[in-house]
Amino acid sequence: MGKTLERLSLTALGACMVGMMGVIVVQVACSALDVNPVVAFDRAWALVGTAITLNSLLDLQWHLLVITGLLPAGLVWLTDSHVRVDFLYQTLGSRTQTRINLAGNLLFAAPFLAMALPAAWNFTARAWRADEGSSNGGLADLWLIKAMLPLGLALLAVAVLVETWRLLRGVR
Amino acid sequence: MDMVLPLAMAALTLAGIMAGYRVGMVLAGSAALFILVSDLPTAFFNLLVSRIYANVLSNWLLVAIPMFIFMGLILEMSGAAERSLRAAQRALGGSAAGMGISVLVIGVLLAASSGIVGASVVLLAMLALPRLQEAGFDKPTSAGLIAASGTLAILIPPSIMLIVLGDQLQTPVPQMFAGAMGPGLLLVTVYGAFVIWKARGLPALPRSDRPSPLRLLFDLGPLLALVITVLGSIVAGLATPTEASGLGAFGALLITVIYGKFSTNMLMNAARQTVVTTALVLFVMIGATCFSAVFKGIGGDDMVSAAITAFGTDPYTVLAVVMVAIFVLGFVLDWLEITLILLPIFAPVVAGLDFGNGLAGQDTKIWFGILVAVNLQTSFLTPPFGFSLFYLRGAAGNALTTPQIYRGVLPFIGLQVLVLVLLILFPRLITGFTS
Repeated sequence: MGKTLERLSLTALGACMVGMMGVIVVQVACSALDVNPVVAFDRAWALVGTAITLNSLLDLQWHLLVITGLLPAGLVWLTDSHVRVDFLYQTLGSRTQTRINLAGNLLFAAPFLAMALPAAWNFTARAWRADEGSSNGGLADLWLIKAMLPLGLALLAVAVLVETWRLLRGVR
Repeated sequence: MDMVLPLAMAALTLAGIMAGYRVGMVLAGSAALFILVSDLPTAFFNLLVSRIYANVLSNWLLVAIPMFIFMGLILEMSGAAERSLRAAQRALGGSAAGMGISVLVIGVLLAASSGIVGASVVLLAMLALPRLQEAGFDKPTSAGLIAASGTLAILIPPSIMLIVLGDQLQTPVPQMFAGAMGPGLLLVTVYGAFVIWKARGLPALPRSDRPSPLRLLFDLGPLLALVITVLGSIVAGLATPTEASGLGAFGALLITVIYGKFSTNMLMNAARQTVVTTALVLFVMIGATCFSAVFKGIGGDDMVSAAITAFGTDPYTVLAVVMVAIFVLGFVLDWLEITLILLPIFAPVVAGLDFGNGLAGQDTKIWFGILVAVNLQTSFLTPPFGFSLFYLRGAAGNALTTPQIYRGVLPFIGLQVLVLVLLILFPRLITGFTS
């Protein structure tokens, strides 16, 4: 169950990665051939407005980076792939490692998430209230991308809770 | 009195990192704790979130990081590196020196295409270690040559380390790439000279088959073309690093098609691995952003500049202190942590110095950035915790012992330090390529 979910999420995010490559290739091709706007519509659509321009494509690139970079933080936490300086850690017994992780979750993760989550939520809410769009004619609805920050942190918080629970039960 | 908080913050962070807890969270967590215990307002966190968003997330330059990782992983799966190494060995393998040089040449080619140290070292160890020993090189020399050639990946552009360095120092990445070319060539030259010196007196090797020029072109051409296009377009200013990285990944994909290795499964495997690597790099960046803002907020940068000028304020003394500090920390910390945590604090101090070497402003920063890059590259080779040594030990299995590896890298570390000194004395070796 957990493994399937992990693989599905990573595949979906991996598809975003392939998409990022595609967007860059299209953007480079369109600027080389001087095609701008790339697609124009006769009415305003949600998210993109009346046209997809080169700037929309430039914005889309870092939007995809935000999605692929932030959302998997929790998943990567649970698979224990985050960077550790482990030359001492790997020589320790599993009981000591468990204690280090519990202490770390309490000392570092808890205060950070408790402070960062509300701040990130407010940050997104401000963009929503101001109906903030791209400043350079790119994609509209910037709050959608800003929302990845509280969402990514919330998923990370869930991962930390799940790990803490597992560590406390001694199940690894 | 003023030093108590920054010292406590540095100590707590170092303790957390050394204990082996996740680096990104140690950094972010100490930032949160020290907002609480210092007189910084709790609303400081709103500022941090805006800063994470502005500096890390909406940073178009950083899009190049996953794309170069993606390109490297696709190339790794394309088998292009194996092909080119075999081709180079067949072309140059008539003598022991030629065999050694072929390893170095492919190390450079891998560095300029994929830039993943682990992949380069492992591949060279698997394919070249037996050949080097057949050619008569002793085990330590073979080990040192493989570790050093593979480690060029982190220095020779397009390298992720140079992108992060450029971002931190606010120097244009194309100029960082250009600035790393001279030092890269210099390192390759001194490595090559060392290998030829070591190979003197070794007997010539029997040649089995001479490759046809057409075969050589098929095995080496695509990778070479990709390297020249990606790197050339950035340095010549035709494409931004981000554009070149996306096109590079696409080019790597075309190479897998040419060599008949393309499959959706391969592509998605590379994409999934890229997602994980990107997520962990970004997480450390987010943690480091929080850490540096709070550390500066409680007066940490004053403490550090006091510390690095403690031995005197002569520019070269300060530079020496910074370089030795990075070299020593490189024994235990990774380039990512050093770049993200220390550089924002060291850089303004060094950039404001007049070295009397004709460099000013931007050029001083580029020169300093490349010196740091060569220094950090060396840390991959220094025992006991150099990453390249771990990769080599893992890939070589029983063919090499740890003491043999340590003994083998020592001369190469010496050559690294020699090059670093030359770069400090002759800044034109770096800036000569950037203008």
